[in-house]
Amino acid sequence: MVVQAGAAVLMVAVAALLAATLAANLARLNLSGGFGFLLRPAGMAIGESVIAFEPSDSFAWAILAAALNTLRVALAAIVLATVLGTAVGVARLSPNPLLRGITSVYVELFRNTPLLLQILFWSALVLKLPRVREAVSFGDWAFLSQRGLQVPALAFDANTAWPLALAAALACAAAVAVLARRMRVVAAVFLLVGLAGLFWAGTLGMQQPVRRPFGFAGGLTLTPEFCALLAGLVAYTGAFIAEIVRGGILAVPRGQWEAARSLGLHDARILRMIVLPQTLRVILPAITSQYVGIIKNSSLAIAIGFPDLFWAVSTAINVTGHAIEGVAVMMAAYLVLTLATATTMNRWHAGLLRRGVSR
Amino acid sequence: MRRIAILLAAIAAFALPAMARAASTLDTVRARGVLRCGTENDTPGSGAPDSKGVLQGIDIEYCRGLAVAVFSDATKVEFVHTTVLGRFTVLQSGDVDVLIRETTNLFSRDTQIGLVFANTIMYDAQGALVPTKLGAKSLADLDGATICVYPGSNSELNIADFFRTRNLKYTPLSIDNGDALRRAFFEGRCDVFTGDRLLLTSSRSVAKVPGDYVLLPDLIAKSPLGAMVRQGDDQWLNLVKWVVNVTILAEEKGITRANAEQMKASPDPEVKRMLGGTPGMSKQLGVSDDWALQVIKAIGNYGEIYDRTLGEGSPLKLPRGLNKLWSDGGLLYVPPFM
Repeated sequence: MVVQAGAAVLMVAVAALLAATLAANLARLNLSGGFGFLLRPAGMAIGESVIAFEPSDSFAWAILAAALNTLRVALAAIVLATVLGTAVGVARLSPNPLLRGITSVYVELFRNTPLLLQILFWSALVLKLPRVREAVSFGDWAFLSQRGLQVPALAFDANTAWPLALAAALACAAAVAVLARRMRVVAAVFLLVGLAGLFWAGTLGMQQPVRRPFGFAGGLTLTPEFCALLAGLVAYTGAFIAEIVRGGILAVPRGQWEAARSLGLHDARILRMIVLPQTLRVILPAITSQYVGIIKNSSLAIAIGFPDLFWAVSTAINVTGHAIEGVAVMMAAYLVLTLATATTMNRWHAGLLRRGVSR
Repeated sequence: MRRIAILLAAIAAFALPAMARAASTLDTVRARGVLRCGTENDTPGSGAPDSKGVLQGIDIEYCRGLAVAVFSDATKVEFVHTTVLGRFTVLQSGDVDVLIRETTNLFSRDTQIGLVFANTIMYDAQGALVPTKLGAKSLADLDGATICVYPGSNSELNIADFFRTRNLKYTPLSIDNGDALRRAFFEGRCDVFTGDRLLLTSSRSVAKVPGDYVLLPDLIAKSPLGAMVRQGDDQWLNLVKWVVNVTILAEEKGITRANAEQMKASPDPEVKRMLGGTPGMSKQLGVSDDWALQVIKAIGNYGEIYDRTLGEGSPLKLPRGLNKLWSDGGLLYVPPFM
């Protein structure tokens, strides 16, 4: 008890000493502390953003816009890496030697080379696509060039709102049909009719990209930086997830396979209904680490120019000189993202354990 | 108990150097035996390795000059590569003694970040580099273009202002690595590369066919490039400032690398003073009497340095423009050595 109290006092004293040293050093260097700089106009433009951003907006808004870019690429990478990793993990246990060989090469290649190198590789690869004026056109609806993939966007016209109400009613009907099970076909018909109605009424439309002297106007752009970063994160993390999945499948006792086969089930069905659910329970903590890793590794975006959280805070630090506060903001932002991911995943895992899926 | 003692000792070890660093920069450099200079290694003209792997460039020369002023030895300098994003932090933290890497002097940088500019080494301006076949006459023609720019540079802010005030749109691409940014531009990922003209000329010089790229006539912003030190050490600030000043004075007085030794016998009293003829004159600067002579013998006068690193004697062939002596219609006008 005395030792614990002593340790606590010591910790506080150390923290106070460090804080005092920091304050003294900042004062000596004529650096003022505080987070007020976050409200100053950023003055810079951002390459891509899901929220509207103008150079006259504040650094705080720039950091938020950039954090959403980080979130966007991380979410996409998590989904795709999971799909890829699971497929490869299963394929590595396939009886087909060719499939096994190819997937082994993939895993060893991508797991054992630095991620930064891989991201630079994908980035260089994307730059080898045709220049924007020679963009490959897919029936004038989509264009591929080194400026990225330009696809049509779903455009929404708020002036014609009444079909939306109709569509909402149809969607509700579809939901009811789904809840009633057995009526999936009916639900699908309801949804299709609703969607078609929206397009017919002009509430929803497809906005086609149009060629301009320096690229495209209209439609959605998947920028090369986004694609290169995504490819890097997916290929790298997918290799780790594949190994985790493979280990998880091997951890399920052989008896489970044999028992299921004796019931006359096909291997694919056994995998989906019996083995993978049990695997999930084993591998989830390891997968969580990979997801958190994706979020952190996304900061390598700075190497290829994707405007992510790290870029925005670094730029703010450089322009304003508030390095310590900036790094604190950056750490807090990454912690929010990673802790939220870890908490969600851990809850899910705890739920699986409580329900005892394997029993 | 022993563990706690070790912990305390460890903390003291971390905390104390930070507190003890109140000694003057010059003393610190002397005690270390080598000058740590924040430079760059990927921008020909400012700092990049030559064919023998030795760093060359105008900023590298002034680091060498400063090392000569302190140690009378041009080799006692360690070049620390700094990126655009990291440069101020390495100087603030004391990792380098001085930052000489084509940094633009701005009000905010001079006053708000604990650092201060010595004098201007080069009067530059922000420009725009485009592929010749784009056929552009002016930056204002490039509505909707993608523009390569260093993140955290003042160029990033200036280009935003330029397009905003003209109600035009553009997309920035910012990469904090010279090679990667140049590659993105050369491969056609960006339509325009913006930055100081020194940087753009330097980038063009490493293109496969430099003639494929042209500088637009637009001058987007003024850009005085200078050396930076930490605030609060006037002696060190003065030394950095006067190393640059004496090279300019030397050009004014016709002192060169080759004739510096003979010029000691010059009838001009200012030249005599500068080359160490009045013992004790540089005592407050904390350096030897003949420091200026040593500096000029090592790196030459401003004209020689410019010619070697940026001008006709270099691959960049950058005209001197504003960087001529005031007597030749330029902006180089420094206080007399008196």
